[in-house]
Amino acid sequence: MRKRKREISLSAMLAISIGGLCLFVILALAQMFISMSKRNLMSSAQENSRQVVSQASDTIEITKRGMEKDLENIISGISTLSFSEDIQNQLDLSSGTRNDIAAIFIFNKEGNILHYGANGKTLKSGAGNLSFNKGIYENADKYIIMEPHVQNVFAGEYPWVVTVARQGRLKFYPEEVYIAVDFQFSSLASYVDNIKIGQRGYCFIMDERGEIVYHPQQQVLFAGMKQEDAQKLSRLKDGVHPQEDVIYAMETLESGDWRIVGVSYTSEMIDEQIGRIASVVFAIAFAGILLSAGICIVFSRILSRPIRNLAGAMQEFETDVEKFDYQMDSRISEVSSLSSSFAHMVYMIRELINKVKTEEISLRKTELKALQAQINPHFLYNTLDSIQWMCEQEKTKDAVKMVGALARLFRISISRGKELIPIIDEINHAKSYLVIQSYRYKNQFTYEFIVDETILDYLCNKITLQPILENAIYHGIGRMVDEGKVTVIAKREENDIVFSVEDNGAGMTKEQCESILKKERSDSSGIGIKNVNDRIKIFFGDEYGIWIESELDVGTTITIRFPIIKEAPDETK
Amino acid sequence: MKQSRKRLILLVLSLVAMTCGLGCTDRKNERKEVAMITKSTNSSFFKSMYAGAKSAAAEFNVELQYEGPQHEEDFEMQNVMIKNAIDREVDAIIISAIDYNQSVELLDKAADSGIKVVVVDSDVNSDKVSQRIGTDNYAAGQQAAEILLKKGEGNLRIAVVNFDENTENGQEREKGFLDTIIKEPGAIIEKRIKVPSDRVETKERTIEMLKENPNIDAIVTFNEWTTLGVGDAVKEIGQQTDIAVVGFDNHIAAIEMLEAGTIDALIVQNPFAMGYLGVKSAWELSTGNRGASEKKVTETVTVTEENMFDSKCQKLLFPFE
Repeated sequence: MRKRKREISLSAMLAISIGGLCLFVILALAQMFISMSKRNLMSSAQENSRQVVSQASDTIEITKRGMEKDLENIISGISTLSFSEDIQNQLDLSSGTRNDIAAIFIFNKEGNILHYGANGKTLKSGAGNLSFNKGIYENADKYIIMEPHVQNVFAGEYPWVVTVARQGRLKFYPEEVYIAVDFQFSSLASYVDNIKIGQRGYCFIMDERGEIVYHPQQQVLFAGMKQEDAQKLSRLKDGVHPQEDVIYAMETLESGDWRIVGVSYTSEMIDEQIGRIASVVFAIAFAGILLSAGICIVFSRILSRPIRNLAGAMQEFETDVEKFDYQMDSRISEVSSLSSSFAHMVYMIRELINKVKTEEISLRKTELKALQAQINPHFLYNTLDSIQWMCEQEKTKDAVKMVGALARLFRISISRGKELIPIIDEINHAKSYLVIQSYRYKNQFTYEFIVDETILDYLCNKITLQPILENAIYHGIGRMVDEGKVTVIAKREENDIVFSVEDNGAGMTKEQCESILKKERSDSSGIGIKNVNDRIKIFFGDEYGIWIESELDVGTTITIRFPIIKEAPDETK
Repeated sequence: MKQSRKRLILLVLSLVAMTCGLGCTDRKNERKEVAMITKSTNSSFFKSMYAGAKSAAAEFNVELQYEGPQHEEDFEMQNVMIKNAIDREVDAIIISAIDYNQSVELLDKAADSGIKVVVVDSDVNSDKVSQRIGTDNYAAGQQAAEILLKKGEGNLRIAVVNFDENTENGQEREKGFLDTIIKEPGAIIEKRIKVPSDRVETKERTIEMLKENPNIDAIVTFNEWTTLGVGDAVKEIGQQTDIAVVGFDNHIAAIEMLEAGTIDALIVQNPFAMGYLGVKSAWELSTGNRGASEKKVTETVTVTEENMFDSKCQKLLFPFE
């Protein structure tokens, strides 16, 4: 169980990354939303300003035109009159019927009043007339419009008026005169007073030079307690000019001399709104993040617990394969499929371990047995006895043959510890064995080898034939009365090698056949047929091995089948 | 799973808390209520003040409640109005006080209950006032003295006609006037009378005084109504050219008298600005945008026949209807 340094927990990673992603997404969206809102609010605030000012400008322009038109009407009403009374009546009529006309004057070039109509009011004597200004009158193109001022020529009142005048030639007067009308300004003033842009915004009128014509708070302005930098504004062209926290919208009247300025406050119209939006958005963002973090943590718990359990189970398994007992517990499909695979793997591992154990045991036993077989005392004693006897009998040639066969038998048995040996060696091993046994069981049997030459170089398990021959001799022929025959056939069948040992001996019952393949040889001398079968299966698989066919009193055929092997696999045992 | 459920509950609670908090912040932007109580409501001066206050009320989205007693001596009525304003739980009171001392207790009570108190024009003897706005009355008195000295010829024998001695602004103006006159060796204060703030009574008392003191060749008086009364008096006895008169404020009739020569100079205040700044300050103070600060002085302009029709003077002198 090795712990790697700097491992990150799944829960933490999940929580952090999802929380971080959420945070990022929400903040990005919030930022985008807020800046979009800000832009929208700004542009709609500007548009609103522009519209209000445009509207005001139109209204004032219309009013102006109306005043000019009224002037024209009055002029046309008196232009052809020849008598002073008529003129006077006309002026009285005009000024009397119209509430918004404060007075009508006819000036000469010097500004002296030639005629006037003022709805019955009388002129004060000696008063200078604010409605006449020689410089302005002389320099005007056509219509003279004087900025709002008080009318000071009538007793008892000082109304604010706007004078609209023009030069004209009337029948009555020899020279050209000025006809001027004083219109009440208070209605226009209250119109401007009531213009609202947003909550705090307002409009005012200034002339091209930047002098204020009318401002709703002009008294506060002139007291110096409020600032309106009209000079600076007069340099701006018509249109909307957003400054730091103020939006100025400007429009010049069509007739050219007056400009309407709209002032609105971005803080009111935008910042406060944005502030509110921002705080709502961030509240939502905060809530969203908390929620997502909470969900993250919950889900990562749900997810990581079974995984941790699984990891713990694996560690447990590693420490103790045998006693491990796995309980699967998970509601998450990915984890439970992992779990069941793990459980299966545990099972498979156990099986494999058992198989390897068994095989190991089998092979160890074989080695053990081979070693033992190689020094089987009884066989050795008996053979040496035979050899001694032969020597005593001076059957030298037979003795030599026996000794040679014995030597060959043991050499091949050992085969330098290898398990797989060339078939030719195995055949020779069998032949040596039969040579020895035929001396011992003299004239009790004969044998024959039918071997396919082409397979001699292929490999097979060592000590394959000998145990079978031993079985054939001891059980088959040893019980016969007549001479027995053992035939060994080695041939190739497609991709397999088939050894076949036939004897015509006593035969075995079905039960005996089966028990041979199953039973371990109880005496510790030599390798049994079961062992040969096991080794073949271990090396080559269950489809290969030994088959026994037998019939009582007829004979037995034992078939050994294994695949063609040309090279030994790596035997590092 | 219990822990995650706990967390969920916590989340829901915090969300609820947040929305509540948001709802609360909105309350801050509620419309402010301001009560404006002046000395009276029918003089040109206070009408202008109201116009200025209305302009600021529209600009700052303030609900303006305007009232004042019938007579400019009726401090008891003013106190009733102050009390009503406290009961209505307004956000601020703007007051031009009739009596320097008699309204202090109530105004302090208002200030203690969280109402911002703004004084315009005529002050009270309280240190709980958040903002004072108005004419520098002492300086205005000085201005009156200076113009009187200019307009009058030779050694002056001056009569001072003043209104209620408990009203602060009148007293300050008189003080400023007297302190300046004293420095001038040729000018003597011949007589001082106290009149109610009423045109007719002032006229009668002034005529009386002039009859008793025929040497008087200069009169100073300190507010709108007394100015009109003095002007009427001088006109009635036919001594417009003989007596130099300096008065206050810009009632239309006074302007006429100025043009005619009956009155020689008017010290014109800026009530529109006072009203405007009064409401603006009330709004700033009650929204917490700023704290209390020093007195804001609105300018007074000396208007004479010579400059009365100047562009700037026109705008200060002649109110819009």
